Amino acid sequence: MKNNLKELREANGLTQESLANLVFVSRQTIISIEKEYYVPTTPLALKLAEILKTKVEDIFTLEKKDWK
Amino acid sequence: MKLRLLPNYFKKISLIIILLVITFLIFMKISDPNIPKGFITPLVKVSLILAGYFFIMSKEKIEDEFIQSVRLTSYAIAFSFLIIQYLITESQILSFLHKDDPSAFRYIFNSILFYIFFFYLLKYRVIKLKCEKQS
Repeated sequence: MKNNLKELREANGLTQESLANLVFVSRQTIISIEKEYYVPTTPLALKLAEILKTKVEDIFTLEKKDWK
Repeated sequence: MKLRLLPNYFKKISLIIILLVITFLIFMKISDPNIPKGFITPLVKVSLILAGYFFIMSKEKIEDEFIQSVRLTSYAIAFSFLIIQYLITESQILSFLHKDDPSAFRYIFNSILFYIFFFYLLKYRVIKLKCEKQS
Protein backbone atom coordinates (compact mmCIF):
# COMPACT_ATOMS: atom_id res chain seq x y z
CA MET A 1 0.00 0.00 0.00
CA LYS A 2 1.39 3.35 -1.05
CA ASN A 3 0.94 6.50 0.98
CA ASN A 4 1.77 10.17 0.75
CA LEU A 5 1.72 10.84 4.47
CA LYS A 6 5.08 12.62 4.40
CA GLU A 7 3.97 15.12 1.75
CA LEU A 8 0.65 15.81 3.49
CA ARG A 9 2.33 16.15 6.88
CA GLU A 10 4.84 18.63 5.52
CA ALA A 11 2.08 20.53 3.70
CA ASN A 12 0.33 20.91 7.06
CA GLY A 13 3.55 22.18 8.67
CA LEU A 14 3.81 19.26 11.05
CA THR A 15 6.89 17.38 12.20
CA GLN A 16 6.88 13.61 12.73
CA GLU A 17 6.98 14.22 16.48
CA SER A 18 4.05 16.66 16.51
CA LEU A 19 1.92 14.43 14.27
CA ALA A 20 2.73 11.45 16.51
CA ASN A 21 1.63 13.44 19.57
CA LEU A 22 -1.61 14.48 17.88
CA VAL A 23 -2.61 10.89 17.08
CA PHE A 24 -1.17 9.42 20.32
CA VAL A 25 1.47 7.14 18.80
CA SER A 26 5.27 7.09 18.88
CA ARG A 27 7.45 8.88 16.33
CA GLN A 28 8.71 5.47 15.21
CA THR A 29 5.18 4.58 14.15
CA ILE A 30 4.92 7.67 11.93
CA ILE A 31 8.37 6.94 10.45
CA SER A 32 7.39 3.32 9.76
CA ILE A 33 4.15 4.37 8.05
CA GLU A 34 5.93 7.00 5.94
CA LYS A 35 8.58 4.47 4.87
CA GLU A 36 5.79 1.96 4.12
CA TYR A 37 7.11 -0.65 6.55
CA TYR A 38 3.85 -0.59 8.44
CA VAL A 39 0.22 -0.28 7.37
CA PRO A 40 -1.83 1.38 10.13
CA THR A 41 -5.17 0.14 11.44
CA THR A 42 -8.40 1.82 10.33
CA PRO A 43 -8.77 3.92 13.53
CA LEU A 44 -5.23 5.30 13.17
CA ALA A 45 -5.72 5.95 9.44
CA LEU A 46 -8.93 7.86 10.25
CA LYS A 47 -7.17 9.88 12.96
CA LEU A 48 -4.37 10.78 10.53
CA ALA A 49 -6.92 11.84 7.91
CA GLU A 50 -8.74 14.02 10.42
CA ILE A 51 -5.56 15.73 11.63
CA LEU A 52 -4.34 16.27 8.05
CA LYS A 53 -7.81 17.54 7.04
CA THR A 54 -8.19 15.06 4.22
CA LYS A 55 -9.75 11.69 3.38
CA VAL A 56 -8.14 8.33 4.14
CA GLU A 57 -8.11 7.43 0.44
CA ASP A 58 -6.11 10.61 -0.26
CA ILE A 59 -3.39 9.39 2.10
CA PHE A 60 -3.36 5.68 1.30
CA THR A 61 -3.60 4.06 -2.13
CA LEU A 62 -3.99 0.38 -2.87
CA GLU A 63 -1.44 -1.27 -5.16
CA LYS A 64 -1.98 -4.24 -7.47
CA LYS A 65 -0.22 -6.58 -5.05
CA ASP A 66 -2.67 -5.64 -2.28
CA TRP A 67 -5.44 -7.43 -4.18
CA LYS A 68 -3.61 -10.78 -4.17
CA MET B 1 -6.04 -7.90 19.47
CA LYS B 2 -5.05 -6.04 22.62
CA LEU B 3 -2.14 -7.60 24.51
CA ARG B 4 -2.27 -7.52 28.29
CA LEU B 5 1.17 -6.46 29.44
CA LEU B 6 2.92 -5.47 32.64
CA PRO B 7 3.46 -1.75 33.35
CA ASN B 8 6.60 -0.08 31.99
CA TYR B 9 8.30 0.06 35.43
CA PHE B 10 8.76 -3.73 35.27
CA LYS B 11 11.60 -3.05 32.78
CA LYS B 12 13.44 -1.23 35.60
CA ILE B 13 12.63 -4.06 38.02
CA SER B 14 14.14 -6.60 35.60
CA LEU B 15 17.32 -4.53 35.25
CA ILE B 16 17.56 -4.24 39.05
CA ILE B 17 17.21 -8.05 39.35
CA ILE B 18 20.03 -8.56 36.80
CA LEU B 19 22.27 -6.08 38.66
CA LEU B 20 21.52 -7.82 41.97
CA VAL B 21 22.36 -11.22 40.44
CA ILE B 22 25.67 -9.90 39.08
CA THR B 23 26.52 -8.24 42.41
CA PHE B 24 25.56 -11.41 44.28
CA LEU B 25 27.75 -13.58 42.03
CA ILE B 26 30.74 -11.24 42.37
CA PHE B 27 30.24 -11.10 46.16
CA MET B 28 30.01 -14.89 46.44
CA LYS B 29 33.09 -15.35 44.26
CA ILE B 30 35.13 -12.94 46.42
CA SER B 31 33.86 -14.11 49.81
CA ASP B 32 34.04 -17.88 49.32
CA PRO B 33 35.19 -19.36 45.99
CA ASN B 34 34.53 -22.91 47.25
CA ILE B 35 30.83 -22.38 47.94
CA PRO B 36 28.69 -25.30 46.65
CA LYS B 37 26.85 -24.55 43.42
CA GLY B 38 23.77 -26.55 44.42
CA PHE B 39 22.05 -23.55 45.95
CA ILE B 40 23.40 -20.64 43.89
CA THR B 41 22.84 -21.99 40.36
CA PRO B 42 19.04 -22.54 40.59
CA LEU B 43 18.60 -19.17 42.33
CA VAL B 44 20.57 -17.35 39.61
CA LYS B 45 18.72 -19.20 36.83
CA VAL B 46 15.28 -18.44 38.28
CA SER B 47 16.24 -14.79 38.81
CA LEU B 48 17.49 -14.43 35.22
CA ILE B 49 14.36 -16.05 33.74
CA LEU B 50 12.15 -13.86 35.93
CA ALA B 51 14.08 -10.73 34.89
CA GLY B 52 13.83 -11.74 31.22
CA TYR B 53 10.11 -12.41 31.57
CA PHE B 54 9.49 -9.01 33.20
CA PHE B 55 11.54 -7.30 30.49
CA ILE B 56 9.77 -8.85 27.50
CA MET B 57 6.28 -8.75 29.01
CA SER B 58 6.35 -5.09 30.09
CA LYS B 59 5.10 -2.17 28.03
CA GLU B 60 7.33 0.25 26.17
CA LYS B 61 7.07 3.94 27.14
CA ILE B 62 4.65 4.42 24.23
CA GLU B 63 2.91 1.14 23.56
CA ASP B 64 1.02 1.78 20.34
CA GLU B 65 -0.24 -0.46 17.54
CA PHE B 66 3.10 -0.47 15.68
CA ILE B 67 4.97 -1.62 18.80
CA GLN B 68 2.33 -4.30 19.37
CA SER B 69 2.73 -5.61 15.83
CA VAL B 70 6.53 -5.65 16.29
CA ARG B 71 6.00 -7.44 19.60
CA LEU B 72 3.79 -10.13 18.04
CA THR B 73 6.23 -10.63 15.14
CA SER B 74 9.11 -10.99 17.60
CA TYR B 75 7.16 -13.48 19.75
CA ALA B 76 6.49 -15.56 16.62
CA ILE B 77 10.16 -15.45 15.56
CA ALA B 78 11.35 -16.33 19.08
CA PHE B 79 8.90 -19.24 19.26
CA SER B 80 10.06 -20.54 15.86
CA PHE B 81 13.64 -20.20 17.07
CA LEU B 82 12.77 -22.26 20.16
CA ILE B 83 11.37 -25.07 17.98
CA ILE B 84 14.35 -24.95 15.57
CA GLN B 85 16.75 -24.99 18.51
CA TYR B 86 15.01 -28.07 19.92
CA LEU B 87 14.96 -29.85 16.53
CA ILE B 88 18.67 -29.18 15.94
CA THR B 89 19.55 -30.43 19.41
CA GLU B 90 17.29 -33.47 19.22
CA SER B 91 18.52 -34.51 15.77
CA GLN B 92 22.15 -34.22 16.92
CA ILE B 93 23.06 -32.22 13.79
CA LEU B 94 25.35 -29.93 15.73
CA SER B 95 26.23 -32.39 18.48
CA PHE B 96 29.90 -31.38 18.26
CA LEU B 97 28.94 -27.91 19.59
CA HIS B 98 27.56 -29.12 22.92
CA LYS B 99 28.61 -32.00 25.09
CA ASP B 100 25.35 -32.45 26.96
CA ASP B 101 21.68 -31.73 26.24
CA PRO B 102 20.75 -28.11 26.84
CA SER B 103 18.61 -27.58 29.90
CA ALA B 104 15.15 -26.00 29.88
CA PHE B 105 16.85 -22.89 31.26
CA ARG B 106 19.07 -22.61 28.18
CA TYR B 107 16.12 -23.04 25.79
CA ILE B 108 14.05 -20.40 27.56
CA PHE B 109 16.93 -17.99 28.10
CA ASN B 110 18.04 -18.23 24.45
CA SER B 111 14.46 -17.59 23.32
CA ILE B 112 14.19 -14.52 25.56
CA LEU B 113 17.48 -13.17 24.17
CA PHE B 114 16.34 -13.90 20.62
CA TYR B 115 13.04 -12.13 21.25
CA ILE B 116 14.79 -9.02 22.64
CA PHE B 117 17.24 -9.02 19.71
CA PHE B 118 14.49 -9.19 17.08
CA PHE B 119 12.18 -6.77 18.90
CA TYR B 120 14.76 -3.97 18.81
CA LEU B 121 15.87 -4.81 15.26
CA LEU B 122 12.28 -4.49 14.07
CA LYS B 123 11.45 -1.51 16.27
CA TYR B 124 14.32 0.57 14.95
CA ARG B 125 13.86 -0.85 11.45
CA VAL B 126 17.41 -2.23 11.28
CA ILE B 127 15.91 -5.01 9.20
CA LYS B 128 13.19 -4.06 6.74
CA LEU B 129 10.67 -6.72 7.63
CA LYS B 130 7.21 -5.39 6.90
CA CYS B 131 5.00 -5.60 9.97
CA GLU B 132 1.28 -5.76 9.59
CA LYS B 133 -1.23 -5.38 12.35
CA GLN B 134 -2.38 -8.74 13.67
CA SER B 135 -6.03 -8.31 14.50
